Amino acid sequence: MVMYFVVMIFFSFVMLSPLPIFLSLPIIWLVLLSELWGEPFIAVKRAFEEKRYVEGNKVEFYYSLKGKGYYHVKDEVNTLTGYCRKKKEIKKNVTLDKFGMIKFRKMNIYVEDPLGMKVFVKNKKDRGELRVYPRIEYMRKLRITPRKTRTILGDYPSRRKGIGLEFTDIREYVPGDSMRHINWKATARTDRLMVNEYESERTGDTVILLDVRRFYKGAGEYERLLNASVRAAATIATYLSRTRSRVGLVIIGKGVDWIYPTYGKRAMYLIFDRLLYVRSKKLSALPFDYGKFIVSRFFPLNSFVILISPLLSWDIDDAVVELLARGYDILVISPTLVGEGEDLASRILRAERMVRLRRLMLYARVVDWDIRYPLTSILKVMR
Amino acid sequence: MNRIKYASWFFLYLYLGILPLLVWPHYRVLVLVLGGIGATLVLLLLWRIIKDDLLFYGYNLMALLTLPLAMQFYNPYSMETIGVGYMLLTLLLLHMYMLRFKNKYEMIHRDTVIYVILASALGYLSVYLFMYYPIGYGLWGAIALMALILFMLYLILRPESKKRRNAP
Repeated sequence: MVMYFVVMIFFSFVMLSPLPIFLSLPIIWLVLLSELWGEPFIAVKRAFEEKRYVEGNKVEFYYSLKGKGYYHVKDEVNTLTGYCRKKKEIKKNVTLDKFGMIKFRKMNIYVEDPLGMKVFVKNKKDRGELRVYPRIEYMRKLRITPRKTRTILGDYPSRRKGIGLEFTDIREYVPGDSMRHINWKATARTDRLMVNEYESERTGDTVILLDVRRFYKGAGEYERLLNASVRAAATIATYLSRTRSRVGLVIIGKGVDWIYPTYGKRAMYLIFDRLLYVRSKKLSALPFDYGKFIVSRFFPLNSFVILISPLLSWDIDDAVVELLARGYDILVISPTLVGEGEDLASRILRAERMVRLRRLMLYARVVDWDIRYPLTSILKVMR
Repeated sequence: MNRIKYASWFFLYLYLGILPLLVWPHYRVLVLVLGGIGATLVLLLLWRIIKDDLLFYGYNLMALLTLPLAMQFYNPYSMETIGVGYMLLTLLLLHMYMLRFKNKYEMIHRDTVIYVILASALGYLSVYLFMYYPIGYGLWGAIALMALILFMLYLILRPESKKRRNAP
């Protein structure tokens, strides 16, 4: 505005007329009014209800503004614009559509006076975080069980006979057998004391091996595969935390990360917290061997490994075969994007994946999971 | 809220539409005025493509400079001339503020509109006082001019100005 005023004065000399000077007077009045109005300033406070949410939840943010002027406030989630005279309360509803950790680090505040001549700029240090956990599917019973169990009592039927609920056999009574297990009908039939035998239920170690390395440059495909993989891992972790087995996690993504097997809800929360950080912006050059090394180095030999991977890397099938050879029991869940990309590169990628999948089917249990359908519907029919 | 945008464009086109009417019989100046309007529209077009602040202020400045050109055959000391000039200037200023704040803050508060209209009214009052109660030419005129220049220098060079061009 001051520039406009100066140009008008100059133009007045060029035209040799006082008219431009007269016409510039409202401009100088605007500058004067802006000076009289004072300094623009706004202080912002933010609050929200909970710290933990699940993907798809709605959060209400409450902003309290004090000050005056046109404002443009931006934090990690929201951008607020408008005009404040003294005080203003703003409520903002946001749907959290991506899992992950949202850390509020800084807030940009930009305020102008009503005539746009004076500016207040502040990059305020911000605090707080929102944890958005991946959505899970409810799984009543997983029919896939580990083939090898530990000696501690648990939920998985083992090959050993002992204390349990599942009836397996009848045999002759030997001293030391419990009277409760005598099968009286069989005893009457054979005229000898007979006892029931039960399948012993034992616990097992389960390792969720999550392969979320980024091979796609396109954000859409990567996000869909990542969402599916992480949701599958979270679903399985939630289910396993309800059983009496130990659950561990190995993530191959930006780097390699792992959680040693633990029991119950603690394991679930540890895994969930670790899953918040798996999203990557960079393409990965990490070989699958790192994952194989972590599993074979830190997890017990008889562990049940649930590998969740789109099987896009060339070295994955060899690593799986090697783990099987070492004595691990492996279930492969491979999320697929069916019908995506008809270009040559996508077709080659799909063909390579099919070759890997068929090779793995020879050695391990494999679930080829079309991510358009829920994981539980496929796992229900698996054995 | 698009009404604000429509209104701002209406104000600009009304302003540009009235300018040639002011110089209608004087063809030479009409060419000049049409040239000014043409330059304004070219800069406006460029601004709509590039969206640079400099071009925004550029086309508004061009439109502003065309106003005294269009009114050069009118008596500058007549209150009617000043009145018409201020009304046109108000249209341009309203266009500027409405468009700028709408693009930046998605709204314009009535305070801004009131200040713009108030500035025009105060400007008109100032000219009226100058015409009917002149402080005189010569010494007092020179002192008033110096005071004005010093005030402008203070406004330009004041240290607390934090205006940034690349702000959101």
